[in-house]
Amino acid sequence: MVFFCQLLCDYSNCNYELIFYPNLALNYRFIFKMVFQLLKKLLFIFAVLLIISCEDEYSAQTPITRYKIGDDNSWSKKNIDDSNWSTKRGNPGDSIFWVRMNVVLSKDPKPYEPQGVLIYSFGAHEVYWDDVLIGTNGIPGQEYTTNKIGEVDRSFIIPDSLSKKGNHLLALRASQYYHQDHDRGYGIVVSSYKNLIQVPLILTSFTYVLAGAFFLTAIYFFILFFTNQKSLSVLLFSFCSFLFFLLIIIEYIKFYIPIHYSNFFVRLEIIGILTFLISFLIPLYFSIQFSFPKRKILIGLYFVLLLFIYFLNRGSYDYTTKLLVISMWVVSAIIVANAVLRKEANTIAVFVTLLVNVLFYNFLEYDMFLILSFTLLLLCMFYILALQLKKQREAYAYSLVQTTRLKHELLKKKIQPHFLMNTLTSLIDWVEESPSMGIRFIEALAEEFNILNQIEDKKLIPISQEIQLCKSFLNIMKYRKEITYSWHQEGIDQTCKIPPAVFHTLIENGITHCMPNSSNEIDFKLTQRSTSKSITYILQTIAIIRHPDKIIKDGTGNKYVKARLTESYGEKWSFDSKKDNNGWTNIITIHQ
Amino acid sequence: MNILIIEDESRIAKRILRMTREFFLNTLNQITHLESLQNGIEHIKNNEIDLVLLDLNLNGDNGFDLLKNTVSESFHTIIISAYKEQALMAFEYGVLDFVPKPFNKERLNLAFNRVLNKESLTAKNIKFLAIKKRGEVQLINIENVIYIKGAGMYTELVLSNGNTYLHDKSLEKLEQLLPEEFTRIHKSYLVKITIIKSIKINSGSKYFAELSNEELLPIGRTRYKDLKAKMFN
Repeated sequence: MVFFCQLLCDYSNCNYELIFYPNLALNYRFIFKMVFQLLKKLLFIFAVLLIISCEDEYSAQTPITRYKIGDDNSWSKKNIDDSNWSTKRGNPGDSIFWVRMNVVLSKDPKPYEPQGVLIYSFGAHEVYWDDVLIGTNGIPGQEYTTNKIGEVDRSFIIPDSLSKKGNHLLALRASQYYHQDHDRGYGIVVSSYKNLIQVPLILTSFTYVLAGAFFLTAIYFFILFFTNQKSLSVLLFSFCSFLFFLLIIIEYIKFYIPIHYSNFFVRLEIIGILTFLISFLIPLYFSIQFSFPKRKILIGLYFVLLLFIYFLNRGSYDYTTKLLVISMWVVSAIIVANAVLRKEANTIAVFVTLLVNVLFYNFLEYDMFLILSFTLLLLCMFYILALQLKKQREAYAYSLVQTTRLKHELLKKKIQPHFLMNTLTSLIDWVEESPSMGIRFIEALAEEFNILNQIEDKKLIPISQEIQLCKSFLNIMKYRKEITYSWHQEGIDQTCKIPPAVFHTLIENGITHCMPNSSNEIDFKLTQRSTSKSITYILQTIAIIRHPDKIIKDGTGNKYVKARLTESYGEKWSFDSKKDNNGWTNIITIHQ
Repeated sequence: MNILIIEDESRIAKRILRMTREFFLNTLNQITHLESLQNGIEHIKNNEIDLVLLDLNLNGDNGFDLLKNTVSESFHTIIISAYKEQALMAFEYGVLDFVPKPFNKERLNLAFNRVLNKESLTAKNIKFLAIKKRGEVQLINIENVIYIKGAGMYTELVLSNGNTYLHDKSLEKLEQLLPEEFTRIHKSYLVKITIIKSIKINSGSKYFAELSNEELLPIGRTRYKDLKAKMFN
């Protein structure tokens, strides 16, 4: 099981430390680490059971390695004295050097099960197992004349006769033409050949299932961004998912695509850049999703910090990515904690996820931690998305109800007893007293109902129709109240549209709350002012206000107007209603 | 007859004025039309009034505010309103009649006749008697009233808990508004019949009603028979 940790952390120096100097580690830290290792193992049991169904034991070994610059065919022999060889590689330049290490096999392999040795190395080499050439990884000494052959890790079959229990000698005839001054050291795994080939692929296949999930998420959120939610956070999440998909692909690509050691750092550079981007974008995403106050300053500072970390330890890839990821979770946690304090919706779930991630970080290897934490985050975001969709659905259902309600309210204006019965009473009186006037009154009433019929189920109507509705209403009121109502308009753009009965409602308010002047007149004036950014309608009632000192509360009229504006323009409107020197002024502004 | 009309629709007000004048003819002393509640309240304070014709929805103001005031006064109130569903509540407050809009001459005359003939209401839904106390109008649930005593121009409401309140309406007007169970037993007493425990006859053929709270109230000689009939039916 330890194998996995090492398998994953191919560029992790700290893990090699343990393996290279096992004797030094018998101290507190070691015990501490052992406890952690135990916990890791417990956590991994499930995954491991899934991944390995074989019984073979894996153990990555780093036997004491001895080096000698030079070339001699006899140096592959098992029993020569290499005690005077250096334990350090030294600097062979591009010339050939030999590497020897003793490997102990603790038991005999099962019959007819070929054994293999996996070698992590830097350079081209020929591999000798107990003086027998069992394979090559490039041609040592001729690297500049041949193409780049050979991989960073490669498995070789050990001959059946040489895989018995006991001591064996692994000798490499090697050269390192590229990255000559980079001493990477050697690591080996001896196991059944089948496992050496199969296990990394099984692990890869499982992580690629997750990568597929991230890829689909990226596509899903991308489509969602373009079709539905034009919010930056959705696009960011899509982008992060895609980056993470790439990260997993690149991370595990080494298990199935041979990487020549000269290209070893290319992959690490790509991983570094991907991690940098992810580390920047995830907190940015959180800050937008949870509308963090003064976001730009924090994100700006954070970007500078990341740049600093990125360039601080160039070359220590593992260390840098770790720092980047830690910064990412710390800043994310700050942003989410702030959102929790501000009681933003759905933040608790995210915050708990981040806390769980901290636990993961303590107990899991870096790669596993990253994958699991992102997977958890993804689940978390899906949860939030589901809640948001639920909210949207409810809002939609509410808007439908609201639309129906407004329609009823519009119709009710004309059949409510106050309008209808007062109109009919006046009408009876006109018919009794002056039949010809009564007929005109009936005609005015017919027109009002006619317009109402045309507009009742519309959300927006041409402004000309609204004006017509207002005028016919004033005509009716003229017969009822016996007051001269006059209508003026200025700068009206006939192509504009407006929610039905909005001005009509404001006129009703004007009639209710104002008294005519000394010549028994009330004037209404509608003015339109258009700019590239907004359209403003000003409706003035020029009259005497009945109760100038009365505090104006929003009555059903104003509520209707606001509900209609919200229905058609969302939040892009403003409505102001106030008294002025000439009477009453209503200002409706619709922002583009 | 002094009549006040409170109505914000000019055409309807003219109609009411015309019909009122036609009905009362020369018995009409003064008729006033006002458009708003405030003016109406002001007018009631400063003038002698016999009848108020009131619209319940006046330029967005709620006529019930005025209604509470008017029903506590000595005069009768008739509502003329478009909101039929408010009739029940208006009667609970103690209005004499509720004329729904649109109305005609016959319906209005019927209401006026009630004022003149002091005829009792057919359906009596009154639940409260509005009284004025320290400048505020307070509603007394009539369930708590056991009898009403005439006191000159005013009346005195006596409650089951012993409290008494002055009311501005005369005993005659209250008798018109209150349900059947309030029976006139004397020219100065209107008693809830269920509260009478027994009738006592004193020497000199004087009759007294003994109430459940042991109080004795005189019974008018002419009203004894009616009361007896009511009690034993």
